[in-house]
Formats: sequence, structure tokens, C-alpha cells
Amino acid sequence: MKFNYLFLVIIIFSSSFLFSQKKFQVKGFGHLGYDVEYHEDDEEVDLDYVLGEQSLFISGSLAKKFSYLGEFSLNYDHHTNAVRASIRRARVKYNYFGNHSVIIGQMHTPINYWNDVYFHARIFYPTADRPLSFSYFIPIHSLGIRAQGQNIGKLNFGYDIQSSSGHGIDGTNPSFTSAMHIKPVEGMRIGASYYYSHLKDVNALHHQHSEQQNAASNYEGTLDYQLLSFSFARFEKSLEILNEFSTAITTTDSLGTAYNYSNYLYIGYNIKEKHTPFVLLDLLQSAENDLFIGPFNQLKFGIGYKHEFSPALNLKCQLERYTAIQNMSNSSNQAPNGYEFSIQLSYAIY
Amino acid sequence: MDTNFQYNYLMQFIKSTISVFVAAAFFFLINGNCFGQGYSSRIKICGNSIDQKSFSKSDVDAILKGKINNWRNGNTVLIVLNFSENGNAEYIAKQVYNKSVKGVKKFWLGVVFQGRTYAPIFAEDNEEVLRLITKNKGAIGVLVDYKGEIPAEFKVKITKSSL
Repeated sequence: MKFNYLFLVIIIFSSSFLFSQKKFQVKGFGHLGYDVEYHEDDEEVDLDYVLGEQSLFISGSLAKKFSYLGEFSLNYDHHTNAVRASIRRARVKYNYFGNHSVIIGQMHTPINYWNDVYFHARIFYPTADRPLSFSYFIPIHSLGIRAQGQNIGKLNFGYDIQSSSGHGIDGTNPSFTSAMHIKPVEGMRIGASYYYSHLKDVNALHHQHSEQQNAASNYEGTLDYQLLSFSFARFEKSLEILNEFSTAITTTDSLGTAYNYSNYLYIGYNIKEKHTPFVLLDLLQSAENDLFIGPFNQLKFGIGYKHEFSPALNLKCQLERYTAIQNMSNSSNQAPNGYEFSIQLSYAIY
Repeated sequence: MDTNFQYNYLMQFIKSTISVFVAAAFFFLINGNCFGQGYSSRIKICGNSIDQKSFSKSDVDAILKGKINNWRNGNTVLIVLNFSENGNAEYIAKQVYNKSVKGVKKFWLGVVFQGRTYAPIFAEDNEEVLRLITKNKGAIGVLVDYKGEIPAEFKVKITKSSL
């Protein structure tokens, strides 16, 4: 998306004015990092300083029961050596009754816990990277209209029903999302969702996420895309758990229905709200007859440590091994093998 | 490797994974972690144009945790806490949120960036809380050890609690 940088500058300089009106809140977040990657297949080592995404976050009241939320980011693209500006979220919310609202605009698709709660802010990520499914399965953003309810009843039930543009967020692929969750106790959320999109031309799609390009297939026909997701999250206590499970079901006239799976598991142990050692296990497998990402499987596992200097500043160190899932190699699209050590400093201006 | 074998292998893995997490979820559910039954007498609640003059303890809990964005009269909920560093912040964090001060700030950081509600105002003392309550319709405030008289129009009574 072409973007006028002047717009961001105006936002930055007008932020103090907006803030002084007490109608708007302007905040920000970002991250910096350093990666060491060993590619086992070609026995090469990459060392990279990472200038991560830098985002501005604006929210405020527009009128009685109407509010606005915008998230704008600048992202350095390592492949093109260019800075890319993006509108991540821009939405108007109408809180028509109690905890029930209608939201119009661009938002994060409420597919799973990660996408609904963490969005682009690394400060909240439990691990350095998103789950593998975000590179292949998850429609991160969508543009459309949503009915939302939250914190209903004793179980803090929440729902999202959404009609929007699909994977390409270009208006050409209409999609439908239905999601629900409960928060039975403080810090815990259990949720499930269903997503459907009819893709007119798979090959023409551009993956919606900046730093991880989708391995889109060369298939040029139509495809029905269904995504079932299940999330379990437990935070705010010593033992932290996040499990994200997704099944992507793709149907084409050519090869029929393909079942693809992914599961991300994070387990961390928070010590004195400062130190969190953690483990992660992330796997993804797509079927031989899948025409959305093609036959592919990958396994990622690792250990890490998060140090919280404050709620607005943390440092993560993570060592991970990535490879193909043993005994499940697909005939093509072999996953790369290697190790990665990353250090990530995440912050929020709050 | 044939597709059926892969499918069966995955389904077995998924079934076993899900059962572990369903079991874990129920364990945490029955383990529970409820808040205390009421605030202490050191805490007083006040508000400006916030629908009612009395609330139950559980209603106030929900409001102060950002679970309600707007009052029925259309005013936006604005939370104002006496979060001064002389011990009041620790007291409110424990009494209202059952967390540490850091835990409360982390909680609000997450909620606000999700766009679910507005950030609370962390006031320096009781007087600042009352000033902000006076200026903002829809504001609800938490005072600690306030010895003065809360203006009648801002008084909020908590029912079914030890306040």
C-alpha cells in the first residue's frame, strides 16, 4: 500500500494537541532485535540487527457511544531495504447497548487469542515470533463490519460476528467470521472461531503480513477456505500457557478437500513478575492435495527467557530449532532446517 | 508417506493435545481464584453522572476492571484511581485488582492496546481524583483514606459489601 509519510508526521505532531483535549489517547509501541541464524542445509550463518515495527496507537471518543481506534506502523523491509508504512487498524465503534457494539473499519480478524489480543505489539508476545500458522493460515487483518459483545455474564462471554474482505484485504474476497470465547477466571480465556472465505484467484493473493511471505501456490482457480481455531490462554499467574490450534480446510474443484493443521504451544513460568523462562513447540502441516499453500510441514521448538524491566519494557532471548516434522515429509516444499537465536527488546510508550 | 497415515497421526496428536488442555482448563476452573468478598473501609468510591448512586460490589469490580465502556446515559466510563506512591497504589492494586502495582499497570496496558476500553487515570492523591471526577461526566474514582466530605452528587454507595 502506498502511503504518505507526511500523514504519520502530522499525527505525531498533532498528538500533543489531541492529548490535551482529553478526547484522544496517543500511545505507541515497537521493538528492536538481533538474530543469529544457522542454516543447516547450506551451512551458512546470518547475523542481523533488526529494526522492528514502530507503531502509533490512537484511540478516542467521537460522540456519545462512538469511539475511534487507529494503529499506524512503520516497518523496515529487510528484502527491499525500504521502510513500509501501513494502516493496521482504523475502526469506528458504536456501543449501542451494554457491552454490545458494532464496529466498522479495518481491524484484526478475531480468529484466535493471539490475533485478537496481541495484534502487532511484541511487548505482549510471549515468544519472539508469531506462531507458524500466521505465515500460512491466519487472515490477520480484515476490512468490514463486526458485531461484538464482551464480558457478558459470569463467564465473561464474548462474541464476534464479522463480514469482511478476506485474505487480500482488497475487497475481492468476501469472508465471514464467527468467534466466541469465555473468561471463566481472571487471566484465562478459552475461545473458538470459524472463518470462511471464497478466494477467486489464489495465485493473485498477496499475503497480508509484512515480514513473513506466504508460500502461495501457483493454482489460479477458485478455492473455498475454512478455518477452525481453538485457543486456550492462561496468564496473570505464575504458570502461563497459550495453545493455538488451527485447522485450515481448503476445497478446490481440482483436488477436492484438503485438511491442514497447526498447533502452537507456549508454556512459561513467571517468577516475581520479572523473570519468565519458557518453552515453545510449534508445528504446521498442510496436505498433499492442498492448493492454498501447497504440501508443506514444519516443526519449531525452543527455549527462551523473558525479562520484564517494567510493564512497558521487556527483553526476550530465544533459541529455537526449526526443521521438517520427522516421518511426515511432503513430496515438495521441504521446510528448511536450522537454528535461530534471537534477542528482542520490546517497548510500549504508555 | 501416504496421506491417510499422516492424517491419522495428526488426528491422534490433536486428540491427545486437546484432552490435555481441556483437563488443564477444568483444573484451573475448579482451582478458582476469586477476589475477596469486599473492600476495606479505607476505600471510597465516587462518581459523576454514572447512572446510579449505588452499586453492588461485583458491579464496581466489573467497572473498575474495564468491563463496561459506557454508562446507560451514554457517558464514557473514565476510571480514576488514587495511585500515589505512598502506599495507596499497592493498596488499591491488592484490594480492587488482587494484583501488584506492576500487575495492574500490565493489565491496563494490555486492555487499552486491544482497544477494549480507555486507559484509567492514575492520580497522585485523593484531591486530584475528586478534581477529575468533578470535571468529567462519566468518571468513577477510587479514594484511599479520604478524610474529607465527598460532595453529595458524587457519593456512590456500595451494597452487599463491607464498604
